[in-house]
Amino acid sequence: MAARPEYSNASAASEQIVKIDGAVKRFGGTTALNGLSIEIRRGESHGLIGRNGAGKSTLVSVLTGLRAIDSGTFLLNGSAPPALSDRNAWREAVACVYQHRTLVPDLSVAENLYLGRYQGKRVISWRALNREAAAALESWNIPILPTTQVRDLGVGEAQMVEIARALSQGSRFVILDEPTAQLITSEIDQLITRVNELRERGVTFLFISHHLDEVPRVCDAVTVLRNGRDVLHGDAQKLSTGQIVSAMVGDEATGIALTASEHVARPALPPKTPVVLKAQVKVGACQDALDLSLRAGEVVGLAGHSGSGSRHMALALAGHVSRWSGEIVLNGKTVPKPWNPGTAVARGMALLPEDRIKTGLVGSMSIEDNITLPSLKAFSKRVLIDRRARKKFAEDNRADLGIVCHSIKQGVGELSGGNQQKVLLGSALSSNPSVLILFHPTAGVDIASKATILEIVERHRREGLAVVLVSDEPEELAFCDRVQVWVRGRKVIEKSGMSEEELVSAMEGFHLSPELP
Amino acid sequence: MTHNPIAGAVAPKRVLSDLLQPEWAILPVLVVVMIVGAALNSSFLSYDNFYGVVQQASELGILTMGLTVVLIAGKFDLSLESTFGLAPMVGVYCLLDAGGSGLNLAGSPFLALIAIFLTGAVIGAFNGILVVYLKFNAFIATLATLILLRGISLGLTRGETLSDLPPLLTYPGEATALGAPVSFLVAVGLLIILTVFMSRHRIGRMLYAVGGNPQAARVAGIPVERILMGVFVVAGVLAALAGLLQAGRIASIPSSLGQNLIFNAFAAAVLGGVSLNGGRGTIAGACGGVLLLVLIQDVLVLSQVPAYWINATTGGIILVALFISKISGADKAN
Repeated sequence: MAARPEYSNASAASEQIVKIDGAVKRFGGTTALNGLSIEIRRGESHGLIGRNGAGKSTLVSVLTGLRAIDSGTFLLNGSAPPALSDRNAWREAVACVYQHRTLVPDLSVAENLYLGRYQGKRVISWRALNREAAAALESWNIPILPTTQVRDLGVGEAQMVEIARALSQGSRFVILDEPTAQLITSEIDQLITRVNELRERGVTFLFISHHLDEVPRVCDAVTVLRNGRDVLHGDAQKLSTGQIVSAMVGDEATGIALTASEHVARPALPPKTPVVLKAQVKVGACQDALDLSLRAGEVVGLAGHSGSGSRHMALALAGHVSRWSGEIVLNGKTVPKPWNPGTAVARGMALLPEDRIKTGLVGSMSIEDNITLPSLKAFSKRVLIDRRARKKFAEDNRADLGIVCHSIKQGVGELSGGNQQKVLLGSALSSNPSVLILFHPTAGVDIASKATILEIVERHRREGLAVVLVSDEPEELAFCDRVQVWVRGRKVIEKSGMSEEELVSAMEGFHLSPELP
Repeated sequence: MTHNPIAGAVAPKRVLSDLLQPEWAILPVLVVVMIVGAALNSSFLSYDNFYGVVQQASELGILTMGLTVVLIAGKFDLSLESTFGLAPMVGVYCLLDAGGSGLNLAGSPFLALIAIFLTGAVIGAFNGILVVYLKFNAFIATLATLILLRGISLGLTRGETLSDLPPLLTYPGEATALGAPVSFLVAVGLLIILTVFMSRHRIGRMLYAVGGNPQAARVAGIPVERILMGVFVVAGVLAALAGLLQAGRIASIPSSLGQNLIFNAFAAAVLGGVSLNGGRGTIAGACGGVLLLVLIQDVLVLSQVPAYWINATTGGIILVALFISKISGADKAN
């Protein structure tokens, strides 16, 4: 190994690996960290909990030296952190295992371990490299052959290789960013055992998870974040789930039934309202089948974090999953198989995908083009597109949705996130669907646009649009008449009028509600 | 098209404005080439010279239009130049009597004509299946078909040149109408039809969407696979037509017909502002690129650059033209 830098030797005695006090970090108009303080002691496993947008990712980017805080103090190993440009120093001090894999799939485990830092000689000695890798893996008690191709590893094994790489780089402080999101139960158990073993041997972990049940099994201490601030510190073994959840949610929201007010605003549907969608969909990765019956004008939420299966099933509903079993009855007709997006759109099932840049919009095309993409056929007169009708439709949408642009001929790539989302919503609605599947409709969108987007959906709902809303944001799910909560491929609860607290804890794998299924 | 007289009057203007899109930043370069050409050799501006230039530009242009449609849809087809050579060969081969080297399968030149276009369509469909359904990388799959089809041309003819083509087959490539080569009229017709199709037909718009973001196109319910198949077939047919025109002009079909032409087509498309990443570019722009390329080669020939150095000079000039279009902003797409 390379010689450890001065600062970590000098501070080896320091109790705290990380000490952050009053950190503030702003991005443009938004404050990501708002006076956050956290202390991570050497040798402990520290749980970091918070909902999306609470500041976890920003904190991780600060801890790994990708960003500097605007104000506040940050001590790493008892002294000022290295300069952001000194990547080596950071690598040796902190390592992070991200949710997405950072290993090269076509190289062996050994190559991945030493990628970019082959030692000394010009020609690589494979034998020496493999021997060194085997020794490293063995010393951390990770039973993986160094010559295995990373492609052939399971998700859990690959994660262990990432941890091993972090340790072999000299770091004794490892951040695990939602390590269990994509693991099956047996892999989670293995990971937890291994993490606990490594902790015994002096490795410090910052463990980020959405699954509260894992926290007492792994962590010594817990910090809960909310709105860029630390709102709760405590002993992981002593804090109750209820305490953690109410810290995540905040006092202001506790106990209020989220959907109640909406129910007041939404009169009950007339008794004869037709069922537009009846679905029984089973996808491979999920234990439970999606069982859905949706009447015109009804809004059902599918809640769950990544890996819960809710997205996968909603994608299957929209025709984007080739392997599924069961039956979808749309407007009284059983849909044909193969059920593909083209047929789905033609039959009245529209989708607002979750990543508007990657899967939603065609960046090289204009607002007008994008907004009419699913409905080009309706704008075709005999052979050619009726430009006036199309232009009028786009202009109407621009006014209706409040899209801020200088012309509908403007490229969508130049628009702000909120305006892009409005274009995408206009596009999804342009085919006059009877069912609209929304993925995180207000993610990454400014507050004003959020309201507009939900207003537009609500207006169409009143005219009979049935909505499936896929989200893990209680604010969005408040829009639903009832919500199904999914955790790891199982439906844990379906109910209307859930409180934010109840919803959050159900998504985190706990039911606060007494009426468990 | 529409019952509204005002809308009807607007339409031709629209077509014109489509022809004058930003891709025409290439225009100044074209003007410079013309001035240089006229200065170097007085016969550059003659009718005879332009007649030849326009003929060549039409053949390359039709091939490039096919390629452009594929590029806009976000794919590649290198094998178009082999289709260019093989399709007319198959047509003639079916037709020629046993005294020649043919099979005498078809008695009628009309059938031969149909065979030519059918060959283009079948090759296009074959490439389409490889790329769209078997999901082969378009570059390598069509490189393989390029080699395969070139080999078939060579095998069929044993390296010989087919001559004595029936008049029906040579007519479009050599005839003159209204003082212009028929091939030019065909190319201009195609340019107009394809331009209108790409900008005003729903499938044209879908093509841009598929090339710009296939996932978004899928979400919008566009049958991405079927569209791409169609694109390969259309490109194949256009390549066959372009090959037929050239065969007619030179009144024979050498086994090397169309060899290396795909590089010129690519260069022309990119010069004309077509993005190799898909989703951007126009047919008119690509045709501007073709015109530029053919004019450059013409100027080189007229200024008596030794034949062996034409290729090297063309390559150098393409680089210069790319550089100019970069600073003029015409290549924003790439």
